[in-house]
Amino acid sequence: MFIFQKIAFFFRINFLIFILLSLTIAVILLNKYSLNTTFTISPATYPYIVAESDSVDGGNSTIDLIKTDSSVIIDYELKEGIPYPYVNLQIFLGDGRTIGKDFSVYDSIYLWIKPRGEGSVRFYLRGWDPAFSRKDDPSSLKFNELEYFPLEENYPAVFVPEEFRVSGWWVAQKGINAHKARMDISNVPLIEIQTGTGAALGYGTLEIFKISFRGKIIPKETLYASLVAVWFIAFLLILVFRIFDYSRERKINRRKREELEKNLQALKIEKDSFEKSSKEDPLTGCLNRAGFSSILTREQFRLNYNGTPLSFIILDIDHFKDINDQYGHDIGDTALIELAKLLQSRIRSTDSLVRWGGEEFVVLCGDTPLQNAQFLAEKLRQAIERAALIPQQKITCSFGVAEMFPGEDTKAFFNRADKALYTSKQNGRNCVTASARKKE
Amino acid sequence: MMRRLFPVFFLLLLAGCAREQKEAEFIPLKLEWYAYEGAAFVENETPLSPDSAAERANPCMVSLMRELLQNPEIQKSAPEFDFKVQYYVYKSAQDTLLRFLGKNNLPASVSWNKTPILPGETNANTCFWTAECTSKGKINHLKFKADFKIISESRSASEK
Repeated sequence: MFIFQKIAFFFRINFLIFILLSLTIAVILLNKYSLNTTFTISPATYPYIVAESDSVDGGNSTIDLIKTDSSVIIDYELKEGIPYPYVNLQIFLGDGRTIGKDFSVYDSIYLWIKPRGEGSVRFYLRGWDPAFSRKDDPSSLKFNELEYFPLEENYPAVFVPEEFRVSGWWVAQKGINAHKARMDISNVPLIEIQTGTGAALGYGTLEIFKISFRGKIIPKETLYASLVAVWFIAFLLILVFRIFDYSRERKINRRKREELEKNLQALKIEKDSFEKSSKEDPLTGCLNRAGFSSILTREQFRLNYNGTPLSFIILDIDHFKDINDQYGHDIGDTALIELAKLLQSRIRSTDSLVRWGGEEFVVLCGDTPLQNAQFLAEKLRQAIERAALIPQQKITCSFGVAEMFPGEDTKAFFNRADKALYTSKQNGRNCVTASARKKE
Repeated sequence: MMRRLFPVFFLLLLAGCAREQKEAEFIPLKLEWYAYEGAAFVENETPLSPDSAAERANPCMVSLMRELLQNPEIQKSAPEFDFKVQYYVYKSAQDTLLRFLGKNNLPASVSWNKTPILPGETNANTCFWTAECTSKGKINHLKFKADFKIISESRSASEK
């Protein structure tokens, strides 16, 4: 996995583009100024050369080949005999018949040929083409011809392959298809250097030093095609690695997101738990005053803006101090817990039970007018009276009930309920007193 | 003219602003409910079983409480009310009614489930009322100082 990541890093697009650009420029420059290939034939030392006159075609010309250290000299005499008398020097390559040298890779040809006197020289690159060439017929090798006037050219004379053409007389003589009559020097088993067209009759000399073919190790077309291929493959690899990277990142991100969601969920649970515990009375599980405030605010809003009635029942355990003193605080706590359970089971789901403090509880009844709250309080009173909250003694509660009127101050409202509770206490306990509003 | 009236207007404005908003008053109202299980004590009325009263009582209690809270007699009377309220079901010619009898300043020591609450002698400190609740939970005839006929003065007196 680590190596894979390394490779992935290596193929990061910016770095790779930089490398590719540098490489491309380097290769182009290197190819332009270096990486040359040269093929040189020095007839003075090359063994497979033959000097030939037109006598093979029934002519009368004569030829004499002299080798020096650096060249071959052809002394000849062109005589009347055939319509176009000539002499030539044949240089055989490969097997000299079917397998020769591929000169198509070279882009320039240098000729060190010096004639005596004016006149042209014909230079043939004889190509083998299996479509029409035959082993037993040397004349069937294609005549890729270049004819030039050495004295009019620089020395050495330099030519490019595009300057060659296929001899028209040979095409006509052999009946070669036009598609096959194009210059082709990809397989040349024979090079011929011949006296030119219309060479003057008589003596002549042709000194041949060397023939050189020059080109690039990597041809331009191949180089550019290779570079394009390299760029293409590189980007293909980038694409693959990007997809791999993307997939990997997506996996990592998904894992991180899942972890975050888990943490968030845990935090939410923790927050909810904290919130709940901050709003709950730890002993009885009822709301505490903090929890009550938010509910009261909501219900007050409903009362003030929609006129939804809101009532408040406050109850207090009668003689609770005596229970604590007589049976201990544990029994007192049990009484509170059991009372809370009982109240919770008897109120509606829309009511809120709050431990107001000590042995005081409050039931906040939303959407409840005073008479209904008073009735609920009476039912609660009876239920408490009937229940055995603790085995030691019967427990009763006194109740105060009040209905808030729109815009009433919360403190005044609580005071009213408290007064009603106080009245219940004063009137013998275990009863319900409602705070009825006196009409003006 | 305007100069003379200006101080008057100013004083009226000050008096208007200074007038304290009257705070709402509240009456503590305590009701103790008793399902009457004793013998008939009103002429032409036979109380039905306490079970049938219990079934009917709940909506009627709420309705009665509403009526009492709004009743002018309660509103204008004493600053505090502590009613013992008796209820029982009886059949009338038209409907099966729940009758309520309420009175203040009654002793807590008496068993008001068995003993009928009667008007007795009323004075400035006592308040006696009766009410009927229809089978649909509607309060009819909430009457203070009711004049219903007791079966026997002697019997009621003895029970009292």
